[in-house]
Amino acid sequence: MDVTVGMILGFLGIALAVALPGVGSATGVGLVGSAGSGVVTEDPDKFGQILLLQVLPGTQGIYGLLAGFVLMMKLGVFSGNVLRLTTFEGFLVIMAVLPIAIVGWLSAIHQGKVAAAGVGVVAKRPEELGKPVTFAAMVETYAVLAFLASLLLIMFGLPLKGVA
Amino acid sequence: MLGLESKYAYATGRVRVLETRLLDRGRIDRMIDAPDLEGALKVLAEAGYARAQLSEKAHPVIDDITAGEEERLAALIRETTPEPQLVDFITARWDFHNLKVMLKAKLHRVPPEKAWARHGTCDVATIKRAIEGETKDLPRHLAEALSAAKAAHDLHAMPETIDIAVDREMYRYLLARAKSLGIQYLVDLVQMEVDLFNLSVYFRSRRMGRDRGFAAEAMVPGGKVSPMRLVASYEQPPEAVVASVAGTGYEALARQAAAALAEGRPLAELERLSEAVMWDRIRKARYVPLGPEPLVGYIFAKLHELKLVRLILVAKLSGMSRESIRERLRDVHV
Amino acid sequence: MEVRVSPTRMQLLRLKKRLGMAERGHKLLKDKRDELMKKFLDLIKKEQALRGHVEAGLAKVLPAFLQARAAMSREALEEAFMAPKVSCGVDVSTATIMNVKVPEFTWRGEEARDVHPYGFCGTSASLDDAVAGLAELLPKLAELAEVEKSIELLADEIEKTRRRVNALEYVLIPNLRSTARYITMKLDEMERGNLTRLMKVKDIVRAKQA
Repeated sequence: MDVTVGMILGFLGIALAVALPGVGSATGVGLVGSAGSGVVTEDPDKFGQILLLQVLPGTQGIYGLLAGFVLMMKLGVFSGNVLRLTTFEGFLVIMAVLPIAIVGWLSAIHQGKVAAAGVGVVAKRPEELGKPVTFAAMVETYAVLAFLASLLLIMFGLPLKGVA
Repeated sequence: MLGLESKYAYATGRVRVLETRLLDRGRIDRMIDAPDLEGALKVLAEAGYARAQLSEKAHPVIDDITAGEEERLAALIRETTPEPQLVDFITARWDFHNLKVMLKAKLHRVPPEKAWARHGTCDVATIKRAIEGETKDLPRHLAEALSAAKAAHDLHAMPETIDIAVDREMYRYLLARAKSLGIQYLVDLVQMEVDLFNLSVYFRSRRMGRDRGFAAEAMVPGGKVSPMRLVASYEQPPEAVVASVAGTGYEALARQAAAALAEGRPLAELERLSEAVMWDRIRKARYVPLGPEPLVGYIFAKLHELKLVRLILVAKLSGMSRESIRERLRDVHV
Repeated sequence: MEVRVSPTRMQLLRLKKRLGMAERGHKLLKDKRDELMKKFLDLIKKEQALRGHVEAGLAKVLPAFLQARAAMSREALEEAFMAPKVSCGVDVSTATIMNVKVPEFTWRGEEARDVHPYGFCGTSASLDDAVAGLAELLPKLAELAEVEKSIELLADEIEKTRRRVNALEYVLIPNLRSTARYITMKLDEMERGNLTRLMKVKDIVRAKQA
């Protein structure tokens, strides 16, 4: 099978969509985890509440993976017959995944910070769990918006035909 | 892009819980209102203080309690941070203290046992050998302080020259350490400590009737207000110092201390105000969500708390009235 | 009072001499007592003023010291006072007030200005006040000790003098007087006895002649 530059760019798009939000989520979850284990060392009863905060920055990774999946379908990865993209189409693919890649990556880190700060709130007032979760969830909005944009771009904005 | 924040995330988590166990207004009030030392110790024991029991000899108990808490704080730092040097901000004082003790013991031929502090990191034998001339085992900062103190004492054979030289080296070391850790908040706190120290030198040496040269010698450079600026107003009326510290946030303190100096009132006021200014800055760490600030803030808050505890316990022991204890603690806590 | 003297004229003469001496001694001792008393009262006045001053000073120093203790750790306090800075002492000599030997303390100290033997770090301003206050009080304390010891010695001396005056006034002098009276009476009686005897003899002789 001949590989076109477009195919390479298309795969790069998939990689970006999955990897960047994944890295961001890992960083964010890790940050909350560190802060959380500090709290749990002193007060093991808070484990449940902190776990809830910890999973919040993890969603961006999932969005990234979803975007990646849809893109893989679009490129025919599962059918075993990968579309031979033109170079320009390849660039288009990359553009389409950029929203989720960039926003997913950065928002996961920021969400991690907010959630880690929330861990501090939970340490002091466990009954106020809802508030830090809401704060962290606000960051999520932008990841969702970016994900939506990427998804729409991939599904409807890429009339991929490939090289004849 | 996370750097310090993720480095100190674990510590932040732990500190957030520990902060809730610091003595709050209510506990402090209960300690003050306790009928006697025993009652106050009971409150401390509730607050999780180790060793807060009354034994036969009441005085050492107070020092045992604070020393025990300092050890716990040092252990916390060692456990939680990748920067064990932070421990220096607790233990270095004792190392420098012990250096002074041994040096005074040697130069003035007095027994050092009573003043020797156990919580330093450098053992007595090493310091003793270093004073005899064998300095290779001594950490460098202590060795530098040792030679500075020796030189100062050779010049003026007064016991306080040892203290002054060692103190200056200690602050220099702590400042350098704070800067090398790259934590701006910590640098701020140490600088503030230096400034407050210099201000106290200014007022206290004026009260003692020492000359300007002595005061300049005893002050420590590196703070936000340079010693030169402070001593510039040394021979003028006390109010003149307020102009020297203009724009630094110490004006109120300087004004009140100058009034106390001019009217011949005790300067203990100065210490209360310094504590209050310091406490104000320490508290700010609570509003920093992540990073080294919470831990640093906690370290200083705990040290601050130990000072209060000592004050209250000694006051209780000697039967000081509730009102005068409250007066001493005004603005200082929470 | 029993008197065991041989009632002779010789004795009487000696007694009279002793009585005279005792009376003179009594007067002298009384004068001494009065003068001691005057000195004593002067000293008491001085002591009261001094003690008031010292106690007021201590009342200021002790709370300051307590505050310093509250603000400093035990080690820091010990370290601050490890090496002495100003040496001082008292020269002890004796003076005499009315022949009573009283001590005299002469304060011998360096100029009490730079008395603080410690640095500024870890020490409290209250400690400065306490140390300065004590340094100022110390010579006064020595003076107070001198005055109080003098008062004690004077009081002893006054007590002794008074006992002597009393002994002279109420015991020795009345004794001597009564003894002298006794001897006089005895002598008079002997005189009268003699006279009677002489008259009797004269009567007998006259009867024989007649």
